[in-house]
Amino acid sequence: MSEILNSTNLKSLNVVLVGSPNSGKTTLYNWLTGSKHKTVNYPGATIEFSKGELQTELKEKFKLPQFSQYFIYDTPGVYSLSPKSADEEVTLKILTEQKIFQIDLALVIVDATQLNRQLLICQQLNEMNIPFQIVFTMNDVAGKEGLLISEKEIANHFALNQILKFDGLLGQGLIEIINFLNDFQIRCYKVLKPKWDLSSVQNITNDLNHLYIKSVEAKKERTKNSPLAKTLKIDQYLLHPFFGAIIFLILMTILFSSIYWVAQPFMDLIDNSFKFIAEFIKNNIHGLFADFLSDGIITAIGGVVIFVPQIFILFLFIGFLENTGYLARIAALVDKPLSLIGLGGRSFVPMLSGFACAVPAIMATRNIKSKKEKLIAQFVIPFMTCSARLPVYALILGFLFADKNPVFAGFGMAILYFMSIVVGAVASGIIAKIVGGTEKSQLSLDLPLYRAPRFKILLSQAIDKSRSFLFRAGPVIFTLALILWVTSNFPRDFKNGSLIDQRAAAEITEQSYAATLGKNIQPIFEPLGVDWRVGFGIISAFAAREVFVSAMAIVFHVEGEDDAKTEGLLSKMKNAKFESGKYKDQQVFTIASCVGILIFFMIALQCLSTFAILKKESGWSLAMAQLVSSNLVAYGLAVSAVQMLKSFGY
Amino acid sequence: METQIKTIKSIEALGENIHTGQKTDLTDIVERLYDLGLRAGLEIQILRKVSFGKITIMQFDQTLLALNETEMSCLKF
Repeated sequence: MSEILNSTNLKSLNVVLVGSPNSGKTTLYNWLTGSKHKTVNYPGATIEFSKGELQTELKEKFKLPQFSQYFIYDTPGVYSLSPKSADEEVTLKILTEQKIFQIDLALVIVDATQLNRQLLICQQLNEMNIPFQIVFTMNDVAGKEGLLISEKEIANHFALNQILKFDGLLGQGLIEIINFLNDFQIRCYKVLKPKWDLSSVQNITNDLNHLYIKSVEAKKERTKNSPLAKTLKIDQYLLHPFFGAIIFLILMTILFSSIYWVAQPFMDLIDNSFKFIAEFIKNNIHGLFADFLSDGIITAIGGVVIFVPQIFILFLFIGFLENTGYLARIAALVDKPLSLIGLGGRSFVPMLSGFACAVPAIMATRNIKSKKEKLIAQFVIPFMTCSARLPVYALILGFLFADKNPVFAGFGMAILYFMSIVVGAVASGIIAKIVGGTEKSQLSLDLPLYRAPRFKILLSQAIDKSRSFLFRAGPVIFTLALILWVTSNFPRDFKNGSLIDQRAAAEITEQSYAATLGKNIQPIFEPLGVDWRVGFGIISAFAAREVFVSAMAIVFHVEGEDDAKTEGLLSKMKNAKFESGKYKDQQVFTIASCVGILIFFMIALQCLSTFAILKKESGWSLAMAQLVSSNLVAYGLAVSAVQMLKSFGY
Repeated sequence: METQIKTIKSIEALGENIHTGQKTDLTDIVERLYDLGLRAGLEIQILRKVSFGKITIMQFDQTLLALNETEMSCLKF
């Protein structure tokens, strides 16, 4: 039992919003706080919750404000206070431990159409002795469904003076809620922590069922236009064995295309803007500091910001699917196929997003309730063929099929895409076995009634996620990118600090710590059939996979832009020979070595941004385990393939 | 599939794990089923099966739920 002692002279009021998923909790939160909120991590957990302050214009409505500040906290949705997932645990911890702030009042948001089960949280808060107030949402829907609710009966049961009501669409009832908050009398209380076992849950459920029967009267006939009737009608198509699958595929194609194509112009704009700034600095400031600013700082910041359009679009779309009620149905539709590889329906969208970029995809795994599935999804997502791999694949396939019909290169690309799925499925199966079958498969999906989402809320959620990425994963990506810049550009002659031309850049690169490291570890790359220059490319690709192509262009002394650079590089690759070592004077790029490079890039976890987001989502140890194991497996498989092909004379 | 109306007689924590096919203690799943509003004596309408027949969509009052085979095995009709 923990003791909370709230002093009576507190200047601020801490209100926590608690409720089931889809109860309208976040909608009320947004009405109360507007844009005045930030995302907070619970200590020791990766789960976030939002902290905001009552909007100034709402505060101005008080004639005599009782508190100087009104803090509002939005917690992860829960079905009960017996947690079954990591985010539900965070809600319980916020309520019981009160580490970050002391709760003065819990506002329990209850969907008026779901009183048969959502009053459970109120009962549990009552048993925990936490002061709470019930707010009914979806009152219009309850009316259309023909539900007559005796609010007095429910208020009496929980010893409350009243039940507040709120309409999320028009904001009706907001004034009553803020007046209630202003009039609220803070009381001292001790948090009790009852143990709810199966038998006590059964008793609570039976009690609440009696309350439900007493307080809710359902008219027998439901109109054809009631929200439930409409939902059942829509579900005839969206959950139809054939049409449901077609609609699902179309929607997912739109989602995938959006992440990939809609984001592209914005990513190009960001890329070009940062290139322009870097060029501007180079043209106006000279010396090492200019190089540091342009190639180090500006490039590193650009490398972080460039992911924002994809993250924003992904979360906007996921928010849309979730708020309309369709996301839960997707999870149900694909649950069985994904269960074959240890995943569940909730893993589908993150996995699909992985084909665009692993960074937003890993962030999207937050929607997965099961720890086991979340772990598997986070491990498997980096195997999906993200857009950053495409320049590398295009270069190597372009080399392999240079003299052949371009259709072969296209076919090769398709095989690489397919193989990434196979690798992901195999890895998923292996991890599922390692993690163990002790975790029982849970779906238990609540399918909300279909409804039109509020665009303002979708926008606000997508902005929050993008901001969260920038401020949490950003510093890690930025630091690592800077380290890579230093190792690729030093040591150098300080008298000629600034890069004058491509030749000078190449010379510095050849003498850099990264190149020296590459030369020293050439014996590691030799079994892959490549020399230190490709090794340098592979090391550079740890900043971002697509950097491989420009790094290769630098070490092979290729000048020019884009197409001319690729053509020049392909030509140099044809004639490239080992300069030293046991393969001296032998061709570097053969069928064997190219296949080796492709296999390595397909499996290896090189992308620092992905590593940074993995570290943020699952901690250092799991991220490191994934980094080491993926790269070792990639190396082992690539070496095996190269040696086997070499033995056949390729 | 035609809709079926069934009454839950009991919810039992000794269910069948879909992966192993063996009887397993499913207390946490049963607790979640109670959280979702299921209880003995409740009349539910089974609307359809999706995901290759492995997921059951059901309705009671204004609630729609999707349960997998393990969860369904806990419900006794």
